[in-house]
Amino acid sequence: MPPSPTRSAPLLQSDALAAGYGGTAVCGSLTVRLDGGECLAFIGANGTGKSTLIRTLSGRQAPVAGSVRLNGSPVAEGSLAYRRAVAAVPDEDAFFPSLTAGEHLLMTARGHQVRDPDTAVGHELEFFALTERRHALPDELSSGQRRRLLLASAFIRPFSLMVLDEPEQRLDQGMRGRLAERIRERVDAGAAVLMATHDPGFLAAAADRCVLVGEETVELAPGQAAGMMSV
Amino acid sequence: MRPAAVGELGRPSGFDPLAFTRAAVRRNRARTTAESLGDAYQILLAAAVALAYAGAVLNGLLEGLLIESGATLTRQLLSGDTQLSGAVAVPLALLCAAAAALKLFLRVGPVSATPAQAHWWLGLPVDRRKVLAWPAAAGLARASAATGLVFVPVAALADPEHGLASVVLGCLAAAGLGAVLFLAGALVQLSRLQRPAHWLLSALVTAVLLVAPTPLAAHAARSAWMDFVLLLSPSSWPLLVLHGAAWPLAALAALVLAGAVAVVMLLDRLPAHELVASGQAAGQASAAFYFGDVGGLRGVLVPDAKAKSWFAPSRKPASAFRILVEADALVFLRAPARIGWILLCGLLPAAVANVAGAGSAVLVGVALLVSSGIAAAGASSAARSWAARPALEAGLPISKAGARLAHAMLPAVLLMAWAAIAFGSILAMGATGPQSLALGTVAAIGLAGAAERGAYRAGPGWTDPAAVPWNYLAARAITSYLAGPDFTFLAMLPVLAAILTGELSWWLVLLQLACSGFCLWRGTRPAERPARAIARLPLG
Repeated sequence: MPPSPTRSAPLLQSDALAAGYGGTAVCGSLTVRLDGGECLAFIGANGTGKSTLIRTLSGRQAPVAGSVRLNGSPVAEGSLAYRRAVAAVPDEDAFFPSLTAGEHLLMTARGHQVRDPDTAVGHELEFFALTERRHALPDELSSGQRRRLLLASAFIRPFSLMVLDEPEQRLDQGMRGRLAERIRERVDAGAAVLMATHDPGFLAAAADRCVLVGEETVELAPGQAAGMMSV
Repeated sequence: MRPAAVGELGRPSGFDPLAFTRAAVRRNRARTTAESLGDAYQILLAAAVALAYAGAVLNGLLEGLLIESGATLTRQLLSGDTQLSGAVAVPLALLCAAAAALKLFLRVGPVSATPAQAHWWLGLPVDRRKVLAWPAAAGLARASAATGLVFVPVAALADPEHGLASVVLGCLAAAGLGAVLFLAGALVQLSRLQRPAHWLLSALVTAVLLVAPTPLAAHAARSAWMDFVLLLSPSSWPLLVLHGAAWPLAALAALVLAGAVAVVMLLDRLPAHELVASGQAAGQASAAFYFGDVGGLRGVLVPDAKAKSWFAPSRKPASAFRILVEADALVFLRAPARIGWILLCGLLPAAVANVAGAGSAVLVGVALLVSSGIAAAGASSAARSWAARPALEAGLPISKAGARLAHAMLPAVLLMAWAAIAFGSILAMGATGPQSLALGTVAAIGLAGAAERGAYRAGPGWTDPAAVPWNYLAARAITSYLAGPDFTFLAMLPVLAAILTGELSWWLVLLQLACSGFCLWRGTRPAERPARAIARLPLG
């Protein structure tokens, strides 16, 4: 008998995961495996539970039922291993009012022991078109610039899993395209990305796999899902 | 950049995000040192003025109401050996105050993080305890300073053993007590025991309020074990320091040290989203306090009780008026803790009346007024929900005035029950005559109007500031804050006059009927033009 193909432990694995509030699930349960080098996207109408599911999968909310494992261990948001591995972008603006855009990124780069943090900051500011705003305080940034700064904080540091909830929000079409390319680069380099999106073009450009979230969770091909979303 | 290896545990990064942030803030700070000093001076001046006022008021109460005896207003409503002595009543009151403070700390979460701290600090692979210790220490210092300051007037009036030195040491002990309460709240939060802790503290306050008005309290107070129990309670230790004891200071210092060590050891136990939730509750409470939004403050500190689903709405056809009344009834029946709180605070006047030397007509009247204000605020909770979401009842075939009247029905029933307890208990103790119970029941109708007025009050116009000599104050700020409490005072005025004078004349009965009728009529009358902003959870 030929030896059966073996798969290494998944980066992220959920089993019958139910996400919700007050003991009540807001969407269908999810059993999914995510490996390095994959980008998994959640799609669905507003209020179907995509963000709740993403928060639960990434350990930022307790599950109603089921389990999530990161690299074989129960996901623990407070652990050092988690913080080294997972880069998450918050849903809402969260800045120190007296720190400039560049200083926010520099803190993240230095905290994650990035080699040559100043160069890394310059690179991210350039990519997200914030070079001119390097010394601006958060209050002096536009809504879109603040969003790009948050995204830059995830890309400036090393990670194995990136978690993005509707990253296309407040970005123009050009920046969405560049962001999708950047995600693909990191995925092709071995990282995993978990995201929710409403943008069919962004989905098709960035995702390898897609799950439609609703009363049940159904896995679809990204191209098929993007076609459904475009209709 | 290579992806990080997930299994790589390693050691925390040596990077110090606090030091980095502090240095950056210093570089970018727009404020000059002189401006910062000016702010500090303003805060100190405001604190000194507030303390001076508080001291003057307390001194006036002590000298005018407690010491002078024999006057009509200051006559004792009760006498005899069934009363609770002041030596026991004050520690009991401090115990309840400490329980309330601890409940407050549990609600706003002593250990917390802002969303910015959660994303930029807690996401780093650093030792979280170091990151969280500084904000927790700042909270500890604030809690300690506030408790010490609040105790200043009490210490000054409590006949301290060694004059100013005892006052200073007593306030130091109170500050230490505040720190102990903060740390106890933090330990409960870190151990995720908030629910049983809330239950225990509520049970403690309930037991005190239930027992204090009864002869059982005086009987227990005479026994030696009561002194021992009160001595054991840290809430009494500042009083002991005032009267010359030194050991409570050492004991409080030891408790603070032990508590701080325990908290620091456990600081990394809470996930970031729980820390942010605590921080948001604290932020909302601070903002509500700063903007004078008492209702908002209450909404944060006294969240809705857990709904009980076994009460279902009726499915029979009914008038819109009845539907609204039934909906309000459902709100209260599904959260019976609200009803319990309204009825329980009716025992406060009897508890005050049962304290030897303090149960004067004026102080019992003040207790009745405070208790009625709390009860009216609690009874307006259902109406507040409707006021915040007017679209819910807009589709029903009922006028605005009819809807407001419907929402006054349940508050009227609850406040009549409150009146039966508040006035009935002091009647049973022999402190007043049966006429006060009758007048109080009529006053409850007016209190229902006050509850409605508070629920539907227009919020202050913070976007439309009007200059006042000392600062900027929002338009309609004062009227907004007073809407509700003003009618509470008006509805209670005749019955309080009867208690204070000890007489009941026919014109007081007429006045009570008129005041209650007016409060109900005006309180349930909708505004002629829509308010620009309805306060979400205003004071009743």
